[in-house]
Amino acid sequence: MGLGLLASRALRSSRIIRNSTRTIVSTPELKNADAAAAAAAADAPSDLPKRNPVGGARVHLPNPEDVIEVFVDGYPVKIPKGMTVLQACEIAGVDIPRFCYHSRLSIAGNCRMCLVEVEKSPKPVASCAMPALPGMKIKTDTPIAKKAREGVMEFLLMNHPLDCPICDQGGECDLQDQSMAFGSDRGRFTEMKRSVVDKNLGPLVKTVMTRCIQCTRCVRFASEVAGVEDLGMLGRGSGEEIGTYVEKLMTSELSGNVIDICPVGALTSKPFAFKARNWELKGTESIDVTDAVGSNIRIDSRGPEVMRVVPRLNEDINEEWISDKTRFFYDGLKRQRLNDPMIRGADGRFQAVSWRDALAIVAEVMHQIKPEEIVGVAGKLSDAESMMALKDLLNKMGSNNIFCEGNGMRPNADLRSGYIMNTSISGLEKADAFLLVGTQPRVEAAMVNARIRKTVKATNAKVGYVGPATDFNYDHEHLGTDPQTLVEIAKGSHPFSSALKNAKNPVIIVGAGVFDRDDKDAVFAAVDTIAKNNNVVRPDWNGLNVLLLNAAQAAALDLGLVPESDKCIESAKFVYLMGADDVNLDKLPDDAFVVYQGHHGDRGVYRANVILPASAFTEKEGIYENTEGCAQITLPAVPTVGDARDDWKIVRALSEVAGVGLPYDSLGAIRSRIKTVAPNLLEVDERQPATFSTSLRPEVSQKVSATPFTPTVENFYMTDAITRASKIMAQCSALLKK
Amino acid sequence: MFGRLAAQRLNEIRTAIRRTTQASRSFSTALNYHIDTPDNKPDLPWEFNNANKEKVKEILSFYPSNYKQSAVIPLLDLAQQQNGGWLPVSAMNAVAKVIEVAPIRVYEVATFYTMFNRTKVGKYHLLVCGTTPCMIRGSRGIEEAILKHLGVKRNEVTKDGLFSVGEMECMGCCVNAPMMTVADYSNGSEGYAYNYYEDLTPKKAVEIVEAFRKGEKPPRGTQNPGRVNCGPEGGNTTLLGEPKAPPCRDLDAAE
Amino acid sequence: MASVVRSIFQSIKEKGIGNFLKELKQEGYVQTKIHNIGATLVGVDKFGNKYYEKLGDTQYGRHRWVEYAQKNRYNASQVPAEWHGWLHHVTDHTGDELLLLKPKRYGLEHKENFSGEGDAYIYHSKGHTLNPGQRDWTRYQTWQPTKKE
Repeated sequence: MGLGLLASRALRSSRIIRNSTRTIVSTPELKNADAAAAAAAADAPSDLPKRNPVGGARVHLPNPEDVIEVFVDGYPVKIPKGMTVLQACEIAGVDIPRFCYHSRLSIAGNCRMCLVEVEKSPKPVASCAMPALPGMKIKTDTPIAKKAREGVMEFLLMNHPLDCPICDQGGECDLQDQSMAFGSDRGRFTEMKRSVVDKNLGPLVKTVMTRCIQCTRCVRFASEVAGVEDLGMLGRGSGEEIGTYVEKLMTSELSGNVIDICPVGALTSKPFAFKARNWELKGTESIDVTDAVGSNIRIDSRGPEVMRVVPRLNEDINEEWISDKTRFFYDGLKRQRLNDPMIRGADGRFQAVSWRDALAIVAEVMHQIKPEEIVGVAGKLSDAESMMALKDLLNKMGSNNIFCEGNGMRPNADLRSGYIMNTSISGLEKADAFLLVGTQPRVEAAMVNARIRKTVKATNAKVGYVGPATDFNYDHEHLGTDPQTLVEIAKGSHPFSSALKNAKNPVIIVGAGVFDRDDKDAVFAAVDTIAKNNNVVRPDWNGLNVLLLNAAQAAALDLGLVPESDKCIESAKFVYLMGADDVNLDKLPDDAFVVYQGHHGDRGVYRANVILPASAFTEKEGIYENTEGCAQITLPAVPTVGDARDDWKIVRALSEVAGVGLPYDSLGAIRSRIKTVAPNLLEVDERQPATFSTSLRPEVSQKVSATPFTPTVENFYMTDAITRASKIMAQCSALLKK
Repeated sequence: MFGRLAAQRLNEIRTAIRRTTQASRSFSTALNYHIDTPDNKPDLPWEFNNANKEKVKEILSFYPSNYKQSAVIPLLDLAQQQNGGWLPVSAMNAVAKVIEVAPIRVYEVATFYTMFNRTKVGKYHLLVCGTTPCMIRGSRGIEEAILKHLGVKRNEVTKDGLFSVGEMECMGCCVNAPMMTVADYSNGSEGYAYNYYEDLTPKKAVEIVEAFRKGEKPPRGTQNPGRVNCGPEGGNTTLLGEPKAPPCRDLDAAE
Repeated sequence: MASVVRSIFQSIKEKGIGNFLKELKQEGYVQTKIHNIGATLVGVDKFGNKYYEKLGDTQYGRHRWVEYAQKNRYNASQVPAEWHGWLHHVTDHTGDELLLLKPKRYGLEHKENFSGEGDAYIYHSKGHTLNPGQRDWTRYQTWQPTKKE
């Protein structure tokens, strides 16, 4: 058990996860929702009915001098200076219709749907582009405002095809919804509607450009957030259209988000096209496990099928975007599934058997083998509960050789700050200098990369990169390819060290690929020296980060999945692979008995003697800790396939058959066990910072080698068993691989 | 028999649909998206020539160094003059490189402005004004006469590559309507001229075209010998004296 | 009966006794229905059903009839759709003409009604166990174990 965890257990009283609602707020002072609402309600005139802010929005007034008061439909609202009229209306509880305005993109003001009346203004004003001024009297429900919106709606519908019945956006379309409120039941336009040629944006985004209303949200998203300047507004007047001009695919790892921000059905999901209607779908709020970011997602399912994945808002982690891998891997959940326990016969063929037989054989073999020759490997998609159960089972059998793939054979689990992202993902926005060591965030963690890009765009932060040549979507300086560069920066002889020194909030991000290096301790020592010399770790700022690769890594280290000997695979006679496909088994002796427990017939099964089918993350409840140390829960969205069972249940059943019964029978019980080991994993949706800094790390005498850093993720679209089984991901890697 | 009937009906439906597709009129010379052709594709090399490189530097010097993208329109204009009146994709890419923006930002500008031609035009690009005052004074007849004389359609280049005819909206010459402008790309950006020919008649217009064909440069401005610039025919009839100074209060008295 | 005899004589008068006997021989003496004598054969469908028409001295409404190919078990459902209209005086276009309008892509082959003969057509919905094209409700593909590499 880690030292940091012991301490955090002592310092914190843990909160048991029983609350069903999850509050997502980035500023802790806003947590008290009732007080804020009461304060807002207090100054409303008593004769007007009470109004609540749209979507539970709460306004945070950091600076009391910058507060102005405006009146929305007679209600006085206090807002900070610089807010637009539209935002003021939202706080006052009035939802202004809009198409082009998006809170995370720049303001365009070209759809004109958000027109409101402002007293003393000769014309209705576009509220999204108009800054609110002190004492402004805004009227949103007057005949003028209503007529203005009706006029705009009529113009928008003029060239919009009437194909809602065959449109995938139908039912969740902004234009459809708002035309219900402001549209006429007939059009006065008798000319021909225009038609626009559809563009080919690649295998993920389907375009029906005739439906486009030229809000330019996608253009702004592509250039501002995704950082690929491919889309543009071409032509003029009624011939205006969105396009790339030259034939070009949208080669961004965030391209799927244009589907969400498109207010009409012009950009829709190609894999989801004509598959289901959104009102048939059941949404399950879950967590993405394809990378270590733990993006918040909603899994939309129909019956036993996952139909699509859409993002959920979480300001601290993924804002409201998700990467293409997260959004489109879901068809991998339906292919290559393991649905029966299988045993490899004498002829080398697999045969489906019953659970009883499979577990009996595994238990029998396990007892015949010396305890130190038993090895357990947790896969990159394992949840904390199953890892806990597997570790307990192996410990009961007398072995302590258990580790999680990706963490390397000699992980340093003692200091929690040594393997999580101490700055936190949202904290990166405060940084003004980045040093990326052996990490390619664009392919390793697309959402973290989006944060870094956002910061670089906003503050012109300097980015230094040490590692193999790779592409970034922001300005960066390639400092070198091997760890010697780090030593130079640590000494201060490198030109980039002055940039770090002058930075107020410097950030160092070390890639998890470093864990597998032989000179890992020396690299971390060099990074620690850089941190010490440049004031990276201070009481008010911790800029020393490790960017993990897999969803299971952080929880595995928290739970102490550290092998006793780093040569355990070479001497193993019994290997328990719990969804581990990427662990290197070349050195495994040929007579070793391999049990593969997992949900996909991927790399791991080919060496297995026994296959135990498990459920995928969309089919079970499990705790995952992301790279910044925030524990989150997945929820079952669909039933599991065939005879598969939850990972921890299989391990628990095996322990019973093996005669070393584990002392828990339910998720609740297993979580109380986790609480004794890593209580921070039960603080769901709450980031738990590490207590001790890495300065406590012991001195190392190792020297860094001259071997250059290697790319850790070869193919962004195919990193684990699920994504490797996905057809869409295979298509993407064929067409878009960089 | 039934097969024939069915085919007949299908044909009727087809013609009925076809009749109405030509509803909108495009002023631009090309589509809003690019289709590769042998003389217009992104991988063709294109560069400003040496004389124009100097001009590029001069144009860029008008703008602050962090707002280089402001030079996009003058640079596109220069590229168009150099390239014989039209902008291939590779020229737009070259401009994008000079002003350090993504190529799409240049495409956006080039597709917006109708004076940037994205398909080939003639060495003399004739643009007849089609706005109301000129139209009332007979611009349609002039366009018809020129098109008939050259034997081409609108936005089509003559076989010898010398002429193309287009329509332009108001160029502010209504007092001398009807008018046309001739963009002269015959000598690259050095000999580039953009001259107005005003007070046209169909006959006059054809004469001007013929003069260009012979390599002459007919005098620009009004083609009515009785007029001087925008003045009335036969000299002024009003405002003959010196104009009075504007009324102004007596500043000395105000003190 | 009298009309049958009259039409026989009329045919003999028109074609001569030799031709009349030749025609009888072609159709086969035994199979020839007496009332087909003198009627025009309008067409034969793909099952071999023959369609006759006799204008003139036949009562209007009884001037078109079918002679089924199967003599022992026949019923009206053996008439294919394209001939139905002609036979029932819905249209004057014969089945051969109407066959041209049959959609090639989705036009089904005509099937007679086998009710009561053990082969009755009963509709089974897509997921029904007895539906031969029963839909597979498994929404995932399993991993197929291959031999050890």
